[in-house]
Amino acid sequence: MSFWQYSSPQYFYPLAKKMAIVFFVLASILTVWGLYIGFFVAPTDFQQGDSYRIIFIHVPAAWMSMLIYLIMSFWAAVGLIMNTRLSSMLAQALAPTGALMTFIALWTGAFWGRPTWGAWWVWDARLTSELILLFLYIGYMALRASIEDPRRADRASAILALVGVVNVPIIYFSVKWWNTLHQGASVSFTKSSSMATSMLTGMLVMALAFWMYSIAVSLVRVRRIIRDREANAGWLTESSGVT
Amino acid sequence: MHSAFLSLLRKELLLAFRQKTDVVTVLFFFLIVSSLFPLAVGPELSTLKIIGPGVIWVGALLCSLLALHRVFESDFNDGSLEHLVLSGEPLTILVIAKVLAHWLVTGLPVVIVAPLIGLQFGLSQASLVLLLGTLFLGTPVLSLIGAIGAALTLGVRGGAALTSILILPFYVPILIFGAGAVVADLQGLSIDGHLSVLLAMLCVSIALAPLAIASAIKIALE
Amino acid sequence: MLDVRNLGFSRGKNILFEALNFSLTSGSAMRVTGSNGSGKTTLLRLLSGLSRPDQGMVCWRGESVTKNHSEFVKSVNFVGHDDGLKKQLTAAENLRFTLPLLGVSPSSKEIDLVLDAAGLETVKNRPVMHLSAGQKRRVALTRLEFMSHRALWVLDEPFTSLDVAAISSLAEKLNNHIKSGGLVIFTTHQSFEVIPQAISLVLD
Repeated sequence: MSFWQYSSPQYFYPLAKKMAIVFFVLASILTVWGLYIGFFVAPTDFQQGDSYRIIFIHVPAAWMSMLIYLIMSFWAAVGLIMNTRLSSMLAQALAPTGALMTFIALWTGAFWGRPTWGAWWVWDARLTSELILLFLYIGYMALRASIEDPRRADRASAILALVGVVNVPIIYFSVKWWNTLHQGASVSFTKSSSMATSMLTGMLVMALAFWMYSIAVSLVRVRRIIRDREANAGWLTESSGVT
Repeated sequence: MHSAFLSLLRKELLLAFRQKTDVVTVLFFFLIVSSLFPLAVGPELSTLKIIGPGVIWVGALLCSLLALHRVFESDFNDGSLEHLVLSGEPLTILVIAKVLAHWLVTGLPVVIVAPLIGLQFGLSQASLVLLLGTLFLGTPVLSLIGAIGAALTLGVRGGAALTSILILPFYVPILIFGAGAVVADLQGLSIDGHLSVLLAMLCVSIALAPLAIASAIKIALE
Repeated sequence: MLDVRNLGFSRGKNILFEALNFSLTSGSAMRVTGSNGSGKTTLLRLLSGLSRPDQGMVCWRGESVTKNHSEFVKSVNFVGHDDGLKKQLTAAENLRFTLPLLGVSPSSKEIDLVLDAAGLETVKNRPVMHLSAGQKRRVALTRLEFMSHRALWVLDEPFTSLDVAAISSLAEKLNNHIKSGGLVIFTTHQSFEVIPQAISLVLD
């Protein structure tokens, strides 16, 4: 049996469970390590004190929100072009995690903003783009939820995701332009070159942790989706241990 | 191919002519929504001048959303959409004819009426001309992108609200550069960049949106 | 001419049909029957190129329909369940504007002649919404008159709402098409035989 057998939901199902366990373990280890760096190793910022430490959650979440959108669109496109069910199911599984990451990024952005600029929300280019990205995720999930036939839902939402992928750079560019034009608050999380190495390490470790977590959670979710959608195919009630 | 494109365009325009209420309703919506803002924020002309371009642009955007169901819905319901897919002519070309007709009927009137509303907001003549120009470049893009949303949601429950959340994020860049051009001009800044970007968006959407719309229609008919 | 191999299609969790195999040579007809919801309309839409099958394939003149889609549809005359008419336009206008999409541009005179022959002389210049169901059906079916060069006719419930005279007129048209080497696939709820030589396919 070759590698390609795993593109069938039936064979992927047990593999996903094993993979998920591995990724959960990795995610836990990396999270502990990352938070340790973030809270104990990285120095206190001389301007922002300790409240800046939330970037160890905010920035990785923002990076993941964008990465997941790309990966989700990739799998959706594969599902559309090659007419494979599992690819579309993977896209379906990734969306809620991507939306969650976006939400965390926005929420932590607000918590970071309050002590720093005295406002819960500023119309910064990056935060505004994150907000629009959240709308893109919500749109994707809403379209899927509104279409009853799963295959049509797969294909229609794939088109939407692809249109989104093309537009995301345009949206980001426009929002940046808009922001500089109106001289909005410029949020500088990283203070560019003067960032301590430990801060960068901490963010990278946390980003990796979030990535492992996202994969693990998406694998669990794709298993549930497989169960729902393949319920009529006989293999589910057999040895896989699920009714 | 020419005759297919032209006869489709003529059919759509004839249908709109026989159902003038659609067009008129959209225009009145534009007028009413624009009037809400002075009522909400007060009639000081200085305030209105500042929010004017944005309000009119958002109004045009909302009109575009409101009119979207006209593009494909009735064809989907009465079986005419199948003619487009089964014609043998490239669906992308036929789609351009549909969206062009849709814009002529729902977008262009908004463009023409906008300067009148601009007067109510105390905008200068130069601003009005710029408003007209940006809307002229921007509303076709709204129709093209909106048609993608309309095609994706054919026969799907959730209706206008669903279509709106799908495409409003994609409307943001057009809004930023369209309204932004008028605002920048008021501040004495150069608007070459804005207009170039709007023109670029128009070209790109004419090239790419029909592909997405055609795919979405085929998916809806399966 | 038309080969269907291992055709399968499901809607959601409902398997409509699977492992469907049949072949039709030129000059033949097939009548598809089955209870409501058994997939008759879906099958016809698959055969006319509107849908893609989940499994298997439809071959027209030896070539897969999905691979050669734009050429295939030029050989198909599809008259669906819905009439495909714009209700604010007259019968004549409907034809005048829809036929160019399908590759023919008849003159107004030619359109009038065909509509008159179908017994629609008095109503052809009234908006379609004022026509009865049977009249609308007859308008939709006049497309066959202009598109008779297309070999594969796929008709979903063409006899619905027609009176006895119109049924026999349509049956004659279909039989003529079959005699000249065309293919007719149709669904019907009619109990009597209108096309005697039609192969029967029952979906359940």
